[in-house]
Amino acid sequence: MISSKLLGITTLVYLLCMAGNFAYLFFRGRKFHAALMGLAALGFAAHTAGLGFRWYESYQIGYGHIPLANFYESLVSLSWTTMIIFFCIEFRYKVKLMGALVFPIISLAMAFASLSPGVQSEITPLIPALQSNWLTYHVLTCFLAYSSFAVSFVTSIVYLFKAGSSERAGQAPVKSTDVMPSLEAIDEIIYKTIAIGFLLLTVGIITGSVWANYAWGSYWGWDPKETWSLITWFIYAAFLHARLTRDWRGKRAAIISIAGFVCVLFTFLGVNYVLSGLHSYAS
Amino acid sequence: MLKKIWSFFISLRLTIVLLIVLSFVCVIGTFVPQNAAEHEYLHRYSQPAYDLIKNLGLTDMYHCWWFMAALGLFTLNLAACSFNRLSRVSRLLAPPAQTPGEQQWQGMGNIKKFTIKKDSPAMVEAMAEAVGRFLCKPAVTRREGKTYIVADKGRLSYLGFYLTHIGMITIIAGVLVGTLGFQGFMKVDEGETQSTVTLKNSLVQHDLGFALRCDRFEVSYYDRGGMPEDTNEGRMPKDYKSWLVVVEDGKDVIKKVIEVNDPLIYKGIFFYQSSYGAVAASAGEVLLRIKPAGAEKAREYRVRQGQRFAIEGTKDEAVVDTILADFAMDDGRYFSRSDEPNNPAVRVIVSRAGAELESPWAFMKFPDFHRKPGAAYEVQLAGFYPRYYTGLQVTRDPGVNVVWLGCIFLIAGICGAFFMSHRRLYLVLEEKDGGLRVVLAGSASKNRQAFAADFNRLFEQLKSLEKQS
Repeated sequence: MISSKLLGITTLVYLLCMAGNFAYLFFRGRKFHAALMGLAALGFAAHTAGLGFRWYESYQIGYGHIPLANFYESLVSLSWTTMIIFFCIEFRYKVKLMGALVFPIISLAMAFASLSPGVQSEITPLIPALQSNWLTYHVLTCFLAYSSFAVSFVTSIVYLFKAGSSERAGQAPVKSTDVMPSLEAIDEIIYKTIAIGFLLLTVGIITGSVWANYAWGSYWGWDPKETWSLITWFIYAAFLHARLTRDWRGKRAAIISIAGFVCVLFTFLGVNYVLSGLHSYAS
Repeated sequence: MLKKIWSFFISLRLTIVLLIVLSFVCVIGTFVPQNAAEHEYLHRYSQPAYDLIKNLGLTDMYHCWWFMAALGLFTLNLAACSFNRLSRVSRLLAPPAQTPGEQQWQGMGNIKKFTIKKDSPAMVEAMAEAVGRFLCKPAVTRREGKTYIVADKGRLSYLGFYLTHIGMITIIAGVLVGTLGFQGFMKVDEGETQSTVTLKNSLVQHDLGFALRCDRFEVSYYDRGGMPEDTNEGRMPKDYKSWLVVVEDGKDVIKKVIEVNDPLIYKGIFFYQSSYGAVAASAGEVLLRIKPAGAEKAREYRVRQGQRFAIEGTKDEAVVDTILADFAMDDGRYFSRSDEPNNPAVRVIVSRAGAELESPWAFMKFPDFHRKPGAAYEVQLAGFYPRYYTGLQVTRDPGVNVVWLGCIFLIAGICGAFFMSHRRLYLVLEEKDGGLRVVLAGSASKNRQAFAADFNRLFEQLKSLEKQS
């Protein structure tokens, strides 16, 4: 099938992007960076085409659904939304460090999806409860939110490392360079990606409730996945309140952002494997 | 005292503590099974642990009194914070002063002072135009020898905070209104009419005030490439469909084929496809394949239980005496273990000239089982069509639209609160010695770094106006 070939190429291109971005940290150069962005765009194009073909192929088999139906498709789509957030942050803030942070996650997810024996990559039919257009709206907004939080998470880790090394080097902060932005700039990215993620998560939870009301007859059922998305929402809401009214920045904010992402991970993965409920379609 | 209570309710610390406490207890609620049967708890926990969990309300945590109390406190906190900010918002929403004095522009984040040697109406106009390009069309006022150029954009972003919190309160109000509705379940057999719903929790029979008839129920499956299609076992269902009719005053009012994700809505009551099952097997039909001994071909008959039919090509008659969905035998007595079609079986009585000839059993899954040698007929059970019932979830939630309204407020509010910025620009021009003394001041409520960069660009642009003219 064309889609699996395209997605295979995508994985390779992303692995190349990861290696290139690591090399970029040492060699620098404007042309080098432009070439890396070109490669990333190429990978994204193959990725998009791969998902598009998979969608088309599902119609040919007779199932006909958007590639958001099983764990394999989730990982591939989640990588795709992370690329979108990556491009947005890259163009808005021009932080050349971003590639070296984001590509390890994306290529890991893509490689895991295609190589892990536990992840079925076949196109599977959709159970009646999932046959709805709301699947697209709900899952895409949630995935964009997760991606945004993932970017805030890696940025928070960079913040903690940089703040740590600044402290060790005495009071003078480590100089910001072309690649490594200032602590304030990193902090700003953490805040912005969380704000975007929070909006998207809100929309994702709401589209989920609208759908649940249509499919199950109740907009909220305290299902473990619902509850965990609410917990995540609470944590980021606490972050934003602390930030907006008490001006919590820097280390403390970075730590809450990391805690928030642990909740995101649990919502996405943990609930499916540890807890059971209406969202556990895998079993 | 009152002041202390008030400041407790409006404090941010309360908000953050509540958010963290609610998160934490929600985590507990996802790990302790909710509303499960007692033996399931005892399977997981010891008796004393279960007693503790039960007494703490953890078995139905999201509805227990202390969780409700925490949510109530959360709501009070939300309402108090919103109320507390009311006066500030009306001030923030007021348009900026047309003729700002020194203390007004002194408070701005970005201030530049410079002089331009030439003064002309064209210069003032050019400045106003530059501000217009930068932000929006400014108001130009002249007073006491000074010219004020004032522009601002995005004042409504201050409403973001409000809309977000009012949205939350609206959602909670919608949930409360929703408790006036009901949730229940009804089972309607194919061909039957029902007008009562069994309510959830209380199990009270609730009369709908109209009736619902189920004309047909159908479950369809996905094709299985290459695999046998004669059994539905292990196949993935594609659709569950019920043909429903609303009957009011003896008349059919609405007909709709419902399926999962497409409920029937009548008078604010939603009917969702929720489950299905077979009514007692004896109410359905079977497909028989009967071959007289020595004949070439078998013939097929689709019949109900008790229906007499002639065996074609002979003078004999047959009737299906018993239909069992899940055949089992105990002590020589046969019965159906369940209504599930696990082992469908029929007994057919064949009679010749009014007297019983033979009464063979036929099993769908074991066509060769129990065949007597020398029998006059070979009978096979080729199809089993039980009569289904459709299981409908029935919900009336008068608060649901209030919840959606709150959701719209919430989304709009978050957009305003995080992604809209109020930007202000003051330009005060004062004639001095044939030139102009200029004060340029600007501020943004959000994204100040980006605004500062834009502001400096505007400053350079305004300074260069002198050279152009």
